[in-house]
Amino acid sequence: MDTKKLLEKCRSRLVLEGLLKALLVGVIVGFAVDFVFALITAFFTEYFDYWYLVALGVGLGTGLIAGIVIYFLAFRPDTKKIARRIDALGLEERLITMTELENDDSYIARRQREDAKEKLSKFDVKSIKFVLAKSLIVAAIIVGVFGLSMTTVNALVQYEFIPEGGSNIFNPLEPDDAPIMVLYEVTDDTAGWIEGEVEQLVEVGGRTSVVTAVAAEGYMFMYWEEDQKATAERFETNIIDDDEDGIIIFTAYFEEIPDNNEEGDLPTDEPSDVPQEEQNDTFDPDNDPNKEGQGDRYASSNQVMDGKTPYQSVFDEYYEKALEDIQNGNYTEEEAAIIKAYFDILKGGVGADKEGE
Amino acid sequence: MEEQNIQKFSEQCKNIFEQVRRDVIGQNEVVEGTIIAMIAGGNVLLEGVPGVGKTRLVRSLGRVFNLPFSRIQFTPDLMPADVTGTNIIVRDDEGNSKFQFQPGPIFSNIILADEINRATPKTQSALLEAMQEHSVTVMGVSRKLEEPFFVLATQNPIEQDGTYPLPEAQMDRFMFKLIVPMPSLEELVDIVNMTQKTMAEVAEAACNGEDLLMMRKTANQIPVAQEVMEYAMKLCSATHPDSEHATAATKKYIRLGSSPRAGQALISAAKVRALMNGRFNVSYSDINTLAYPVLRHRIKMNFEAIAERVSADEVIRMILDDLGHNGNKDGAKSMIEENKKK
Repeated sequence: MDTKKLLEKCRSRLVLEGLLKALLVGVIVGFAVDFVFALITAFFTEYFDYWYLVALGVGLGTGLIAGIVIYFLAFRPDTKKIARRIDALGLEERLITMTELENDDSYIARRQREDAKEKLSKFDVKSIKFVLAKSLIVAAIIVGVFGLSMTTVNALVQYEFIPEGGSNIFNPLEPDDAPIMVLYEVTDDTAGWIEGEVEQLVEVGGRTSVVTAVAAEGYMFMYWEEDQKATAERFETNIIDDDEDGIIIFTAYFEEIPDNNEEGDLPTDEPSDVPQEEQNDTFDPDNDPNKEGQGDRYASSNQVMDGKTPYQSVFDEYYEKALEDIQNGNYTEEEAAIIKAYFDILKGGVGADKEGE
Repeated sequence: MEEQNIQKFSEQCKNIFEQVRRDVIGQNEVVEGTIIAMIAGGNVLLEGVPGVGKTRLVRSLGRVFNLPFSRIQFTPDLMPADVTGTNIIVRDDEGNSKFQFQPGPIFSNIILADEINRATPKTQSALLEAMQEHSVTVMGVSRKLEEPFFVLATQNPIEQDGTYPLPEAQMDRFMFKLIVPMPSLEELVDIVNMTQKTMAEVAEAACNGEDLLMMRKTANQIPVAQEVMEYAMKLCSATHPDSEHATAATKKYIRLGSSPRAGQALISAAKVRALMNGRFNVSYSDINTLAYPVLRHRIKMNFEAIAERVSADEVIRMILDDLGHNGNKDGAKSMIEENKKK
């Protein structure tokens, strides 16, 4: 019987193994080409939309050609390869010798062939195990991951699932959305203090809890230095760190309340019966607060409206109404806080007036 | 005819082993190695401590092969003429004096050169021609030795005082150097039991000189695949540190590699071993098994090997491992190695 025919039963198994090896090589070559092509075409997305498909196609085509070529050049089992492989599985070079002595008609060559055939007939084809080099498998996986990743990125860019390369540079050392430290301070510790959390770590766009600048005895809160806000109570919404240093500071400014007792009567909101001229020796008719166009400077005499109604009574009336509305739930929490803050501003002036009283 | 020869070869091998087993207990590798070398036509150097059965094995083989046997006890005062023979003056029938060659003990078929390293180099060298060319030249006259001719030498590895290490040229003429180990416990019991009954050697002739020559001729016909031949030659070449096939172990431990005689010995012996195992081709396993007795005395270790106490056998194993067909039970690995090399 022909040597090739004898080895036929083992050939199909080794052909399959050769094909698998060639496939692995094809995968490596194909995805390597795909990766390189996808990498290069990532810079030319404005010229053509379907570069990812082209890269994939070129990679698959190259891989297929490479696989076929490699199979025929390296992995296709010829008679000698099959013989060598089976010999290594216990036939002790009988088959390789048989293939070499195929055309030898000497007695010893014939005996050798008979011996080889006898052993081959007892050989179990299943004992030929598929052998794929680990390095080949690992290389195929690595190159495959690279190639597919690059192609996927290109596809995602095209369908705008992710921004185009270079438009969004991510710097892990300076995250855009790092929290901002909001500090509430006072200009002078003896003049007042802050009630509430003076150090607050807030996300960008978040809000702080309410703090209140409380004046010490003999002082009054004037404003917050950073934005000249005159409300003692404050909170911040939509926090943005403009100077990007991660810290925002608000400083409460207090002023000492002038000692009116040294100069005379405490200020009062009630109108005086004494004419203005007599109340103050230094009365200046041009600066009379009751005169139209005047009244921007605090004085007990200008704490009335329409010449008779004290501001305090009007304030109290509106204040009580506002409190009632708040209690009735007519306002949201935020609106209620704003309203309270507004009345506090007014109360500051009025309170000072009352303290003067 | 050839069919008969092959049939006879296996039968005679079986008989030879059976008969030798009657006198020698254990030492399977040594017995097999010696018989392979004798069938292949090679000389054997047996190395072992005293009392392990070296001389007994040789004597037993002489009887089994039914061949004339000479024993030469090598001593420092042994002269070359004591080995080869010499011309002596004799008187003829007419009363005239004339030289007549008196053959020495070397004119025999099997020579037991006992403790060969005790003789001086001059006497040792008297064996060189006989071992290689199977002839002896005395006073300018060459005389052929009768075939088959073998030198089976023994030497003691322990005693170094008053010994003369064999020169490389002589070492190379031994086909095999076989290490005769101490018998195992079971073998020791059997040896003592046997010798308590009788010290006499009981092995009988299993074949004769002609049979031996026919066996050699038959074994010589065993084919060797080109790849196996290349592997054997690559192995011999790999023992040379300057060779392109030299492995890392070769470069590290070997000073001088084997001669071409090693290649010849390897293939001749491998053919005999293959046929003895009922195979009609030489395999890698034949080469690997015989690499040790063929190469161990032919490679010269360098200082590093001596300092690290690396033996020749260990270096041979390293070389075989590197060449990729050693202990090859997994064909897959071999295939990868093959592909890598290609």
